Amino acid sequence: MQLDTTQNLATPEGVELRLPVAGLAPRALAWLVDALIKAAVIFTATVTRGVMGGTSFALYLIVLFFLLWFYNVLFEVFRHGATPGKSAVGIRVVNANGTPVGWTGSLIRNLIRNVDLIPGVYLFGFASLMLTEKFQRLGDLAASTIVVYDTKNVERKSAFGIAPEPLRIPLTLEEQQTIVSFAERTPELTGDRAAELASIVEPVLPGADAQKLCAYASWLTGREQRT
Amino acid sequence: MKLDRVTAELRPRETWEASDFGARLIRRDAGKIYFVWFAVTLPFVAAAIAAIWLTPWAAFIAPLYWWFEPIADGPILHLISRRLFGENVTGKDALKQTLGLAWQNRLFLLTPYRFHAARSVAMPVTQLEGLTGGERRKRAAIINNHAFRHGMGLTLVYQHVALAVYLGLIVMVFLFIPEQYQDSLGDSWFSMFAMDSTPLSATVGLLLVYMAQSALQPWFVGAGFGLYINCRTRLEAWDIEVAFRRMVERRAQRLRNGRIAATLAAVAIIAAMTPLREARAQTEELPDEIPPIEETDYSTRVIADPGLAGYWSEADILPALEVLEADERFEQWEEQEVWVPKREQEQEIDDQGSGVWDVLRSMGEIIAVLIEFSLWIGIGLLLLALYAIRDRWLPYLQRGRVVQRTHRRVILAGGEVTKESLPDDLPGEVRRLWSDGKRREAMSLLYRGSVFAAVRRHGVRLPTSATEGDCLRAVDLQGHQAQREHFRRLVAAWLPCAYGGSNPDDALVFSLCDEWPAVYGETS
Repeated sequence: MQLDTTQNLATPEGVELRLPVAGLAPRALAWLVDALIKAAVIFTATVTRGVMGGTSFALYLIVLFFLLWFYNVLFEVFRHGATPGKSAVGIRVVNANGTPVGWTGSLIRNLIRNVDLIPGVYLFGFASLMLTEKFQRLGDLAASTIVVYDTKNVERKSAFGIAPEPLRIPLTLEEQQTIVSFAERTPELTGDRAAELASIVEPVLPGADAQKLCAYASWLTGREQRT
Repeated sequence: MKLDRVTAELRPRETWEASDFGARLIRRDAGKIYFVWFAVTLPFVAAAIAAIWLTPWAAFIAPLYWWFEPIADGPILHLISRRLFGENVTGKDALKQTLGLAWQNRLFLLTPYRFHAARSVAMPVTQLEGLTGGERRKRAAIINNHAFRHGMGLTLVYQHVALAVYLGLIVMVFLFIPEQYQDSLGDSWFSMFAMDSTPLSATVGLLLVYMAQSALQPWFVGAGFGLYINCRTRLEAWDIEVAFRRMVERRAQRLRNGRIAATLAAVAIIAAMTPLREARAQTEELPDEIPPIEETDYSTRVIADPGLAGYWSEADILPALEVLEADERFEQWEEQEVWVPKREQEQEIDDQGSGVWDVLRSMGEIIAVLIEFSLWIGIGLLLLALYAIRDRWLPYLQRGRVVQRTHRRVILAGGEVTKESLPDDLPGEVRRLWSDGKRREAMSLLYRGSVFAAVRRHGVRLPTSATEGDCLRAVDLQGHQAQREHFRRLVAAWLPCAYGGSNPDDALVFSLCDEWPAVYGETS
């Protein structure tokens, strides 16, 4: 199998799931956003306490306690595994088998966070992240969770701006998909490169150039009325 | 560059995922890459340490070392890019080219480009494509256009993580120094941060920086390479080229198979010309691509389900299923670790006790159940007792308020009806008002009085602010027969009078008044 960034899982039903596991950079940035949010809340609470004085100290401690111990847990359980920082970067926590993270998983991974934090700058967490196959810190290992990228809905083009042409040569589904994605990405390519690519596939599809491949793609997707 | 020999899945990825792709490339060849890294950087570190001890500029050595650090990036890039495209370069090969690569890398070594914000992404352009001058600038502009922002993000993240690792290492060092020495080292704690003049602290500081950089730098180079490759995959549709080449390859394969098939077909035609029996014999001799099917009498293979008539019976399928089950290719195991409450485990251990122990325990359980039930009964009795003597303690809870059995209040849509607002002799009063010509007041009084009597004397329950409809429904459901009938007539007469200004007949009103005491009982 070729090296890839996805973690493949076979469900009992025989469906293969591909989980794109997220590594150091997105997770560090998500952590930064969350840290800024927490810092803002703590700052506000401190100022408020200073103004109110007296009994508000108890309230202040409660706010701190919940912020430090339950901020991640609550967001992860109720916002589909994404704290505000994570959803800003576009990642979320799931169980290693792809199911949504629950109370147990989230609590464990966030309690063990204090081990990852040793000695105050996530040294252990960093080492674990770099050494494990699925980019897991110690908390993730204990709770058997992973952090994955959100799957985005790719907007498919409705047409390729060209009249469809029927494809008379039998192709496998994968090959048909390749022709469609060629047509979808033609606008990003230079004309020379598109022509070069078309010339590669010419032995299979005689007489095919870039334009013709797009016409086949139109026909394959059936999004334009057939002539 | 041969795309058909590529050793990793190339496809357009989301940008951060592309940086993880680079990290995976590094991990795959971590051994070689770290060999190259240490081989290139250790001489520099040795020279730097020597300079710290031998020259008076100890404080400036570490930054100088940092400036020259990208010298190892070239060989690392060389290694992972060649490996990506199927060439197995050894660490030594990469090392041999170090000087040449360093010269290509001079832009990032010797000029302020060292501070390039997206250095990791820009470097492959010079390093791998070997472009110079205007061409390089054009190329770099295209790559920057696509990946500069994320390249900068990479620099930000990796440099800060390197800083964090550096600080973490310092803390770790101090954690493992015995307490009695810590005081004397307290001063050098700060001097290590500042990497100031004492040669020892400068050396330790440099080594810690070096360790932190060793942990991060190859991964940083890899992540940048991932972004760069992703950019080119996107721009040049490498994945599509790979797929197209596979299509061509598959067709060639099919053609080859086609020739074999044609040969087989020729054999088959010859076979067809021979008598049938011989043809069959010949088929059986063919290679076991298609195993010969035994001739069977399908008429006996009918099982209960008529839909299966003529197909397979259970006895035929079972051996096949056994073969499938025995074949490990169809096996799928999943190991799941779950948390189990400890108590259950203890229970299991207890279950293994001897017979006497079992008897004792079940007796204990019976006693426990008995005690539990008697406790619940005790609580019930206590509550009953409290209820029985409520007159003794309830007043204390109400703090001297006058205790009075309050009646249910009658609140209609128009306001509350109280006993005081109604006359003692209701039908008489109604008749008097009616005769006086105050017909609306008379009807109103009759209606209110009826509702009040229904609630107070006959236990009809009303919602608060009940409208006529609510009352009618309530009486209909909860009142007795005569009351229902009476109240329906009353409401039918009252509604047009109240809201439509049309008064009912005298006869109806008087009959309602006459029946009133019988329906609602004596006034009191």
